[in-house]
Amino acid sequence: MTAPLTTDPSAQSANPEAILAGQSAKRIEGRSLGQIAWLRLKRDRVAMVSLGLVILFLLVAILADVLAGIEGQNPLKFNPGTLDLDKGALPRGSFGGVSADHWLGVEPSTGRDLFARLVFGARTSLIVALTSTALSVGLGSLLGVMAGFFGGKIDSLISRGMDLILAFPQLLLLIALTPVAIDRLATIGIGGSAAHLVYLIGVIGFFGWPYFGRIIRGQTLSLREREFVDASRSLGATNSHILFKQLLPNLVAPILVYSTLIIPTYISLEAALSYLGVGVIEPTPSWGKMLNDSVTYSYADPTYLMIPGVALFALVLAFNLFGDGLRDALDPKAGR
Amino acid sequence: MTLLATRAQKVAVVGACLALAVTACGGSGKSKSSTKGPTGKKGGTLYLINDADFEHIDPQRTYVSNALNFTERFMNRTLVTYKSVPGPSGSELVPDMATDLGKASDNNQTWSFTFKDGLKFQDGTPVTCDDFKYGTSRGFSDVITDGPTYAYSYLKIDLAPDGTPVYKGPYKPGPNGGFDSAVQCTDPKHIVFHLARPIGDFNYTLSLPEFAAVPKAKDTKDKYDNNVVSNGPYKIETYNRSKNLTLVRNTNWDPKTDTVRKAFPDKVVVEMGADPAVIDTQFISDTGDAKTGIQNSTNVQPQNLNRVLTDPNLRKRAVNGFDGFTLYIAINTKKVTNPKVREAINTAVNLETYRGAYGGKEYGDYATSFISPALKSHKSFDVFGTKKNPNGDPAKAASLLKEAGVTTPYPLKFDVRNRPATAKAAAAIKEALERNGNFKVTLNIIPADQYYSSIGKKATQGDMSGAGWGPDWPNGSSVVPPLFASSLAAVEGSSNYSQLADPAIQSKIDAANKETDLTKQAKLWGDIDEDIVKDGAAVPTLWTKTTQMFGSGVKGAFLHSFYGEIDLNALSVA
Repeated sequence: MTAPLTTDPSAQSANPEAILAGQSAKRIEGRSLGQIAWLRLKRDRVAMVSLGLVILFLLVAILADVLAGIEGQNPLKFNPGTLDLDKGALPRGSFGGVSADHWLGVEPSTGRDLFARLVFGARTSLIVALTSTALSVGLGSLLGVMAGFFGGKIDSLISRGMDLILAFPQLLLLIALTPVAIDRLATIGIGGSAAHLVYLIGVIGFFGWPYFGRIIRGQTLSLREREFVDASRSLGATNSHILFKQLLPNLVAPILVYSTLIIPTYISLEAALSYLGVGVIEPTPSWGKMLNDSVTYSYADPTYLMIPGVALFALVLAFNLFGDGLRDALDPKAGR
Repeated sequence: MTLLATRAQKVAVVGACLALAVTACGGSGKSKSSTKGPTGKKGGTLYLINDADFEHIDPQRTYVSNALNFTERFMNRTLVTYKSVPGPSGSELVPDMATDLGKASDNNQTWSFTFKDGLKFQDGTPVTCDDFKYGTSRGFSDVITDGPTYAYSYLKIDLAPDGTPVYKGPYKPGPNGGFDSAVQCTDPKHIVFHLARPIGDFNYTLSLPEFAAVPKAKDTKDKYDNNVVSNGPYKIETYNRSKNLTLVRNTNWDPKTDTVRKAFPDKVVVEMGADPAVIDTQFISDTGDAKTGIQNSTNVQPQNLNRVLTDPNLRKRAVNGFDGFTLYIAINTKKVTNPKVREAINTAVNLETYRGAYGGKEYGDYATSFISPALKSHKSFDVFGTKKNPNGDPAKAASLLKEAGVTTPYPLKFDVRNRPATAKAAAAIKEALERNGNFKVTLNIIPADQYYSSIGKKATQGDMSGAGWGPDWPNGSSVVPPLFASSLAAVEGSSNYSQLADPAIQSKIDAANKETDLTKQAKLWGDIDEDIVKDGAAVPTLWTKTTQMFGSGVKGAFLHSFYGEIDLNALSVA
């Protein structure tokens, strides 16, 4: 911790002689790694704006009911009255039927309220992205750290397993397995939209962990040769102590950074899968499905295309930029 | 192209119709057309801009409507065919290679036809009875797949114990299984068909290219798809599968033998592989080959309908009308056994939001029966007051459910084909049925290409399944029996998606089949149609319409009522 420690201007201007003379009102405080990272992050304006956006989207998703309630609309309710059913079932009025009742207009051909679908869609998309990220990251860090730390047969087993999954044509599997998996889920009491969500999360999460596992394994390989591991070992620490108390805390930075970078990938993946018809199903709203639907209306109702497009763009960009900022903040050696 | 796929889907179904008999008198096709015949100039190149290759143009394998249109109008003439006129008269039969619409005898079990003079294949050899017989025999072979199977459900042939024909087609040595006596060539100018039972409208069946002529010497078995030998006005010049197909004039076709085909263009080019939405754009902007082309395998997509139908400059280059299909929601009567519950479903559906999901008024009219108004057998009735109130009546449905004595919300599993508009329409039905806490609907979304085989599995089918049906010929006999005959209720893969096995309905179907007077028969089909709607075995939802565009350089385009698309016959580009 050399140069980057000088984060506080007052510390920079600190004069040891003055301190000795008791002139200084401020003391140089010891700071934890987390505090230092946070200080760095706070100075990164782009990252902070992105973080704000991410928090905003999370709030929107959490408060979807409240927001739709304020607007007074239900995402599933058909409003044929808002459509010109004699002329292609397109929304009446300009900008896709924007009005005091329907803040962002209505969906062509159904008249379902777009604002309500957008906020509930944020919930669906974020649930899919966050839970499958948690699944990938959980599996990946656990197995990655084990492979890296123990080496030998365990490493071979886990690494070959990762290779196997990476080589698997997951998209084909996802499409081919859908009907079977949905039937299976139905027999254990998960039916309809919920079954598709669980399946989607399971598959995205499961096939995502090896990418993550490899990174963690690599980090662990270099960490386990470090002095503090030797020191722990010589003091008689158990493997699990070294794994979870010594190694894992040092891996928090890459785990956090990778998570924030993988979330937008999964948001896009959910959109792509909905596009292929294996993702979220009617009548559940999701951003991916909205985007897919709206493409066909790009000429007739361009406003409809803009809404999920802009939202998805902003969310993915925000997560990406925040992830970048976080990496810079956590890893001083990366620099700029 | 949901609907075309639906028509193709029937392939698996027709073979199961063995038990169905249609009895009526022959010789329909009264001429009452008031529309002038098409006029045009010879010359030029006509383009068909398609999203995909034809699955088949081998006559015995053709069963998708745009391929039927293509092969019947351009290359494979049949004994009888449909008139080439706009409006309902397009569903009337006229003689094509035969001199008349056939002579039926022996209580409609024997049908004989006489050929016109001067019929030739593209290589100049004459078309004889043997070529028709050989062509028909090909349909029995297991390498000639995907075509209709009326030859073996109707002809008087020997059947193996499992119900399949003993005769296995011309490519396999083995027993003839009665085929030679079922299709007889008394001399080269005559052909006689012997049927297993009386079929009063068998000549309608003969309009299918399943019964077209194929010269034995030129047959290349399953490769014949690429090398069809024409006896119509055009022949294949080049065929690059999935890329393009070029037809040029067949100089051995004698227009004097053909009262139907006009053959104005010198050349026909089929371009394949563009996205349906891109095809729309080509026709809307009227550029390139689309200028002298037509839409053939695709319709104007829902998102462009409004623009095409309301802009006068585009509207004059578009045809719009009924395509003969009826969309309906089959209610599985084996699972939803209480007729009151079925009545409640019929009462509660909201067809306004349902139709909106497909694109509104331009997509079709609210259906009140299964037999579409384009057919003579259509009967006008409105059991559930759909016309007056397409929104449904949840309060009445609630009282019906109370009468039925079931606990509400009544759970329903609804099978839905995974296509964007279809899924949204299903969501509209879900919303409508769940009003008032009447029902609890679970959508069972099934991948589009597995849909019909999935709902054809009788044990695992849901409580309700969306479906669509277009008749193979314009009579109630091609609508009611395939959808509601008791004999099909338990047959795996059959189109009786309601699994209806009602003795009262079945006895009425039998009575209609026995009726020899076509006018009386038509009335009987209409009555049965009404009985089924009253029973609530299925919810008729829409009589669908189609819209197709053509380029500014094309004259004579109209929507043909049987094909449900632009008739290829009378187009001119010069």
